[in-house]
Amino acid sequence: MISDNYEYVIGLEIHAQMLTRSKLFCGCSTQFGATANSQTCPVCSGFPGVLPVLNREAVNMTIRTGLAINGQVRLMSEFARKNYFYPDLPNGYQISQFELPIIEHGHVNIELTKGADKKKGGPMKRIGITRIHMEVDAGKNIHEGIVGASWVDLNRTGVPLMEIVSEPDIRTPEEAGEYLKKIRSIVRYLGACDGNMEQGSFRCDANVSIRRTGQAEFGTRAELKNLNSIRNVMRAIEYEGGRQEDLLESGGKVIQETRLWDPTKNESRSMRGKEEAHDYRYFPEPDLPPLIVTEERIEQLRAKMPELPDDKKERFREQYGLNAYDAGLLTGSQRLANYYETVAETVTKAGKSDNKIAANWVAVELLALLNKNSIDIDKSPVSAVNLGNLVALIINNTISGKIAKEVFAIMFETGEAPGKIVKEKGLEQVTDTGAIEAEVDQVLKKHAKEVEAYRDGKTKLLGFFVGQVMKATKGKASPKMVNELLRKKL
Amino acid sequence: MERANLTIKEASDQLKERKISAVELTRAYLGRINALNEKINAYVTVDEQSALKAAEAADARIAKGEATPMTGIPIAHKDLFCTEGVQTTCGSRMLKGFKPPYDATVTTRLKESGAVILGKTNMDEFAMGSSTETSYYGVTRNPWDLERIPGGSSGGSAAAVAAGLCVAATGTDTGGSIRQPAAVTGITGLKPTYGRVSRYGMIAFASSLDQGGPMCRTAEDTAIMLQSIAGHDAKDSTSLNIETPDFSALLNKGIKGLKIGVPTECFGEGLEDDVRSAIDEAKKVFADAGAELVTISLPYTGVAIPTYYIIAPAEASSNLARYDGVKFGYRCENPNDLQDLYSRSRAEGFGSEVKRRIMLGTYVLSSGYYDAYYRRAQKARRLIANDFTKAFESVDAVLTPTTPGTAFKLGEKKDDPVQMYLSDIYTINVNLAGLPGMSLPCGFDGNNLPIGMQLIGKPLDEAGILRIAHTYQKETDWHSKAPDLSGIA
Amino acid sequence: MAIESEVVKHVATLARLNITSEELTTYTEQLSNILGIMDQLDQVPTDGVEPMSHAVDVQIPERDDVVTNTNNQSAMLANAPDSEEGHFRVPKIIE
Repeated sequence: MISDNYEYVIGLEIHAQMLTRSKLFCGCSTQFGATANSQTCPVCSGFPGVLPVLNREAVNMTIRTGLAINGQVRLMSEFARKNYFYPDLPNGYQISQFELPIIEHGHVNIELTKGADKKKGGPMKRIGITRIHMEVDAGKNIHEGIVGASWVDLNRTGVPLMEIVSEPDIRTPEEAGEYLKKIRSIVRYLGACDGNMEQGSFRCDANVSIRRTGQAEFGTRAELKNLNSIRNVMRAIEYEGGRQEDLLESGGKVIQETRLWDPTKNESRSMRGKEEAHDYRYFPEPDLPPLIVTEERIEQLRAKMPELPDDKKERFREQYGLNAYDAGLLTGSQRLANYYETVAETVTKAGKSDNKIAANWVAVELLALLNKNSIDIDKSPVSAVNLGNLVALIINNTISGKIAKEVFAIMFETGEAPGKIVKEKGLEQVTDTGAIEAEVDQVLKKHAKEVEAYRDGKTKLLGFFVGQVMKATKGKASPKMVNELLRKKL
Repeated sequence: MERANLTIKEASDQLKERKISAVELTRAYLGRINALNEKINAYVTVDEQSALKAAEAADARIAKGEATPMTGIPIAHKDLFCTEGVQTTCGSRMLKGFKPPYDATVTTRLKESGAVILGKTNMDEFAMGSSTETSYYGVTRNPWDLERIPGGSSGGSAAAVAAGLCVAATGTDTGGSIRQPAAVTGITGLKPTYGRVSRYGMIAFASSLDQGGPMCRTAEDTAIMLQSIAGHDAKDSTSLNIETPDFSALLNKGIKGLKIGVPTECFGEGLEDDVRSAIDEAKKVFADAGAELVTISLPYTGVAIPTYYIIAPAEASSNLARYDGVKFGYRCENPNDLQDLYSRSRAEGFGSEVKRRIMLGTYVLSSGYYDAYYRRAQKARRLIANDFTKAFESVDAVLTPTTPGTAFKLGEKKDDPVQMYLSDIYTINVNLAGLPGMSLPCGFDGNNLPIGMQLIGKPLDEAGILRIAHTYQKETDWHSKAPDLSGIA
Repeated sequence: MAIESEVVKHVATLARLNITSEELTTYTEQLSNILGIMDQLDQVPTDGVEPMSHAVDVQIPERDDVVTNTNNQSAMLANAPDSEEGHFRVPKIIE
């Protein structure tokens, strides 16, 4: 953490593995978890004489992502070689883009939590995105459990990556977290990346420096690596800020270096000396002519863009009358948003609509149980239609909210429809005046003393009578009607 | 089969007329190889079994009447065309024993055409050289004078064709590596337009300059062989997606009215007199055939050498990074650690010329020098290419010497890289511009060494220069001369 | 341009080439000679000239996103100087 005397200057580099079937430059599968070196060929393994051929879908995904972050698509971009030696890089160079990346000048708006209001949401901040370029992923070096050697598995070599480079516009660890969430939700909406940080298909390096508050120039930055969750990104930035402030305050200097985050120790260590003087000697990839993208192609891809998180959130606020918080939560993923829309639609179909109750049931009840059991929304045992029908039962007074929670628990357990559960267990709310009146009479008769006390002015006892009636009806009586009848009779 | 100068055309006719079988023809060439290769060292690998099997298949195909003009023709591949399951060394210790699990597209196409592959020919290590002296597998000797170089880097292919150890061979040309050895061994060789022939499976030296092509006895043969290897290949992103003309059909149109440009820059200082006068004689032949010879200027010819020797090593330094002792190829004994594995495997696996060029290429791309060298060379390259664009506004082809002189002695320039590089002076600008160029024999010097001349065509106009060459070869017989090897057999 | 032996040493490190002190001397001299020719480029008016990276003016072709390769592990490892349990084997990498 840094003190108020300093502020952070943060830029993030995201590597997002694209969800193509085949690799960027060859026809090998990109499937995760296969037998070592079973998804390799002469091209991705750097054999002599073989040549790369570009995957069209990877280009399309990158263009779509570029459009989603309000970027400009370069009509002419170029692949370049980044030269360095490492066993997981079989060519001795990585095919990337350098001087002419396919996407430039983009931005996203993030919502700040500081000063946020549940109804209106937090203040917005624009984070610039310098560029997005395509490149190949490296393979895997395996060290653990191997005596006196390392192993190399090239299955991941050549899997297409998008590198998304932000401007140094981020000023707090929280902003870094919000930015990452925003980019992750965009690439997920586009189906361009699964956004899985733990498995490494969505990776982030952070360039962090600090400067005295009010100072214009940037300080010297450190590059933080091995940040495998949003939480770790934020923690590593905080740690780095503190480290740099301690250095500066004790008269030291920050040196430009790469630091590796250790999530178990909650600290980073320098990789200096290990990576030695890198000089990547970038030059245009002679095996690949320039990539020309037509306006027509861009427009075709734009026309097929899905509704993006920001637009969807705005629509949820307008169409369903949700507050900023709920709209943000429910549009956090496309699948959750779709789920909610099905719930709301089912409720509406059943007669009366109440989008807020529907939102509450999805955002609070359902998500709590899903998270507790680590179940994905796609695999929810309670289908959206069933949940919609449950909400409809509440709205039309078939069951009370309290009973609904019981029914929901059973639904979550069994996957059954709410109507069936309610019917089988006889949980319908009793709204028959005669039946409730009989129970009320019974209770008043049984508790003559309390009736007297009530009539003497202890009106607080009303709650007691209501409770007794509800108990007698096993909670099925309409609380509203019980109240009305008691008042009348007392 | 006693003749060393049998052509594809002649052999193909004899096969079709059943005067000889492909197996007999193949055995005859294998016999010549057995008798002569030890002295000439044109081949690194001879694959008798596969050759005879292919010859049998060729005979069956001929019998069925399904032969192509290449069916049953015994040929050789420069040892940088990958051949599935057959050692492909690139002239380097680094790739000793390397058996690629794939064929180069050129290899595939020649196999499909029914050609018989006798083996793999020697070459300068990783195609870096002009003398075939940098091969790990020993020097190749020029059949015209065994104390002289056969040119390079496709020196093994050139020597094999010249000595009649195959009917034709493949070569590759990054800065003259088909044309220069063709010139100094008295054969005909063509470097196609960049992108005409697939580079897939052809071990890279400098990707933006490399191009494979035929090395034959005649322009007529060159047209036949080019036909079978040219054409679009989806595995090579720089391959041109255009139709391949019928090169043989266009050979006989004559050259009446064609304008042949003669650049003054290529006939100045440094050109040997015998070469100059041989080309003067050739000009007369062209004029007699109805062509007009026009003096032109290619002003940036002089900077082709520095431009080339920046761009080619730069690309090579990157292309050769894959030889790291991990996936294939040479690995040093008992490496201490990863860096030791890399540095020692590469130091021991590569020869000195390759290392020199890797160092040069690494240097010109390195931080602080990129703009001064690499980018400037790329700009000069554009100016060199523009020279030709301008020239071709007024002429149909360009005529130059292929080399400044005839074959030099073994060892003569080996330790002087700069002198060695200067022998490419007339050929490298053609690679820089991506144009088709060919060399064909046009006489002999006082030492009875062959002299070659170079024809440079417009982009994609291989047919144009082949037609000029064929016209010339109908009027002359330099191309049918063969060295007398009776003394060494 | 003459080149310092320190630079040659650095370049050899970048290129992962072990060189002896003798080779260092030779390479320093030879590279200096070669770079001497390169300096001819200083005379070339390259201002405003578009750099040329490719020999012909074409654009990149794109292929369909289809998996065409199958498991070929043994062939891919067949040329390896050292391999173990389906992996390429190298000296321990210290991170």
